[in-house]
Amino acid sequence: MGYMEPETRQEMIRDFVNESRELLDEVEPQIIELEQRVSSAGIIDERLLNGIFRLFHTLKGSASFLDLQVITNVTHKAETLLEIFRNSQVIVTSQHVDLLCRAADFIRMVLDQVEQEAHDRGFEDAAQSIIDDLVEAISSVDLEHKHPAGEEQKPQENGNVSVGEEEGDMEITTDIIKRFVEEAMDFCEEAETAILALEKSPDAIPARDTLRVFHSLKGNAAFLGLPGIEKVSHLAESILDGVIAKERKCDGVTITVLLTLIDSLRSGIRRVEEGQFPELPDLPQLIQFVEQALDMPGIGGTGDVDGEQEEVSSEGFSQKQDGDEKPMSDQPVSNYQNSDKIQHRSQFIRVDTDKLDQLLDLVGELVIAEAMVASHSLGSGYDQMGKAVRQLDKVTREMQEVALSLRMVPLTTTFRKMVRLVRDLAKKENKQVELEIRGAETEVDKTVIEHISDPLVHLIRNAVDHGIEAPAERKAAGKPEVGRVIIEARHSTGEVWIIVQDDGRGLDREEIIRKGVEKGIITDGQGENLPDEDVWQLIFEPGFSTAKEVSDVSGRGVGMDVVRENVEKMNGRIEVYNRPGCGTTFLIRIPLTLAIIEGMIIKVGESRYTIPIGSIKESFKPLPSMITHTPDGLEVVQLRGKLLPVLRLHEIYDIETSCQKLTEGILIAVQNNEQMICLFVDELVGQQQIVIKGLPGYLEHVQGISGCAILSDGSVSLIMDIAGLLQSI
Amino acid sequence: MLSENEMLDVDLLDEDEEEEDTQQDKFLTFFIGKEEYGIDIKHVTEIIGVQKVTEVPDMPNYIKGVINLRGKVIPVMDVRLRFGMEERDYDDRTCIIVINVEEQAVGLIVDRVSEVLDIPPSDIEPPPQLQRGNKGRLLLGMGKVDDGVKILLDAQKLLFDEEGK
Repeated sequence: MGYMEPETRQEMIRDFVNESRELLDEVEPQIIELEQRVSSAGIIDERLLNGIFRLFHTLKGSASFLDLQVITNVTHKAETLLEIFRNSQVIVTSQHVDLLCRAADFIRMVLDQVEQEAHDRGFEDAAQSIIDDLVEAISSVDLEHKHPAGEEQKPQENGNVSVGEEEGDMEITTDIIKRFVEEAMDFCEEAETAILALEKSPDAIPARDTLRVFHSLKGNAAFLGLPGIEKVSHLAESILDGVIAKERKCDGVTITVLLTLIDSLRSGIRRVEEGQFPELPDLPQLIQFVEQALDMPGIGGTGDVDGEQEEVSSEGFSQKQDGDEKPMSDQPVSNYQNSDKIQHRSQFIRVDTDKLDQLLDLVGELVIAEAMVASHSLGSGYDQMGKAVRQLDKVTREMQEVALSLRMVPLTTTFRKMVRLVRDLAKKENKQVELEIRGAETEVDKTVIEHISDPLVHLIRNAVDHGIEAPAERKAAGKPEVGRVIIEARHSTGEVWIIVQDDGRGLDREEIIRKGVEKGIITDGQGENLPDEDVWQLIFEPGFSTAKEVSDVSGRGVGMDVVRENVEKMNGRIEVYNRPGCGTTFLIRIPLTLAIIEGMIIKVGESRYTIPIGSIKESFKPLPSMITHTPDGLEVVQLRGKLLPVLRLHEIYDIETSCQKLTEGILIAVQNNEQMICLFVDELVGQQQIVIKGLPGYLEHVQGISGCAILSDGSVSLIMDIAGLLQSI
Repeated sequence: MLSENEMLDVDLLDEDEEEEDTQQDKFLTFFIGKEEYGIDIKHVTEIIGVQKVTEVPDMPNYIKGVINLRGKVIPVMDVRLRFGMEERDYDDRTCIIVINVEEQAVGLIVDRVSEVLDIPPSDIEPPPQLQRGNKGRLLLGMGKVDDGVKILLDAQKLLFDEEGK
């Protein structure tokens, strides 16, 4: 590589990171689609495969140009694996897909560092483990390819068991052994700490991470052909699994057994390091001990390690998927939840050049219009001046529209991320789910993109976890075994609609009411008379969950309240349509742009506040007969049979005003959800379109204020947060 | 590649230093009452005349509200009130000094702006320890200039020191 100016490199890194993120977003759904094609049609879709190959290839090329070794190495191996698929008709399994997805996740992680520090050093170890797995996959696929059909599993098996014998293609170097020992020792330590913590608080559910530690150890041992360590790790894993599943009591005996297992793992690992074989000579005794201590007959079989081996391997396969899947289904979700963090990244937006050209044209027009106004103001007739001003006005308006449209981005990327989510969730839940995406090209404000991910993730989790039934149940209900989730976006009269629809079992009215009463959200008996719409809204209350049991996918009672909160942040609403037994539809309605709202400007004393027009029901001058004073000093106004409490703005905002009598000012009835009150203000100034600006960060959060707007005279008006205000009283 | 990285760092460093050189030891001074105060010029972005301030509810009394600075809404602080001094009506000499600390732009309302002075570190003494109350914590030090003493403010603490609020 030749000399590169430092600034050039920095710029190139930035471009590389942005481009790579886009590439990864693109490649993920393609990998999954590839898998779907393979499982449905049994053939590899050449076009897709080529696409995926090209993406990894591009990544590799740019990374190596920028001397990013880790990314280059990982992409290179991924490419090799894909190359094999391309050249032979080997079937792509879900394991391969997991591996490729993992590689993609890993690269994404490395990119975060590259963006900050312009190098990818420090990830070598993590990269190595992925590369090892890729190498393993490559060699096993290669073998399969050489020994077509029939004995696919066998060569790999041999490769595993043979440490000294020279079968199979795998070459186990001292380097690999050394790395294994180091890593395995770390694993043991990690597991020990976790188990000791478990002893202290036996009620706490042990972290699944501990399970994964043993699982990884098992996998590595199997790879190196260390049946003893593999077996012991497997034992520990299944004991812990039992504890997590609450099938096994976590008493002193269990803990002792686990610790004994770790000790023997350690001694085994040491023997491996010293090159002694077998690594665990006292394995049968150990198994016997565990059997007796935990009353688990048959776990050790007859001690016939070979026979055992096969059982472990076949089981290991299905478990491996579980283990591998875990970080994936969690990772994307945690990404979304950390959207705060993401926002700190430099923000780029792809803009259509047409829009930019348009904007430039308009700026040109603006300069001309301004010149017209300037020349006419110097004494020419009123007519000419009026014309010039109208021209100026028109150009400014158009310019504002174009400028706003620059913030509009298609939902494509956001929706695409859901493909992976649905796949991971469905796999985890052992369900079959098909995701259909409609209208992904719909453009929405950039702020919407930032806020919509979380709600979408929760709604989709919910749909897959609670909505879609298990295949057997679906079949019994006469539905196709494969469940359907549809996400759709479209524009509709000044709003963006985002729809999440499933064809699952639908919401259970009785269950929701029962839960609502139990959680104290509604009172007993109140539920029967509630209209359906109100019942469905209950699920968005904080702490509400109807899942019969807590699963780690969803159902911990968090989530749906986040959905409503985020949607409300975007001034949107969420509606629920339910067909019992046939599915649920969630409709999120968000105003087209968040940057501009229609506002009513009101005056209190010298201050002017803006109320979003959407919150206002009506405004009126009250007659004395409408007003009632309660003994505790509250004022209530009667409006067409409804009694509404009055909130004096000058009192809550502590503003001096001469307008003290309700009959002298104006009452504005505002509404949020079902709550309605009247605000007392001095006068209405007028209605206008306002550009919303956030409050300066220095002021932090101000109760009852959602932002500010700049009025036509250049002064600042505070925008009232009606929902916040109503909640605070 | 490493060498290029190093080069990059060196370049940036040079630029920074140059930039700082021109601003080093310079303070913008202003009056509040009879005393003359100074603030490190590197924080100052501009000085504007006083304009209509929109009050924001639930703020400490020294946060007067927000103003529109060419489309950007920034908070303004009355430095008199920040120091617990008596409020004074604004006149045509009242100024807003816009400072930028930790990415936050804030306007400081002062009685009048004076001049830009060079005060080398050797002429700056630590703030007096036994001051009434604990307002001394907002100070950077006391700058000695030919004709007297300027009270140098710590811009960061002026904005973010909660204790002083």
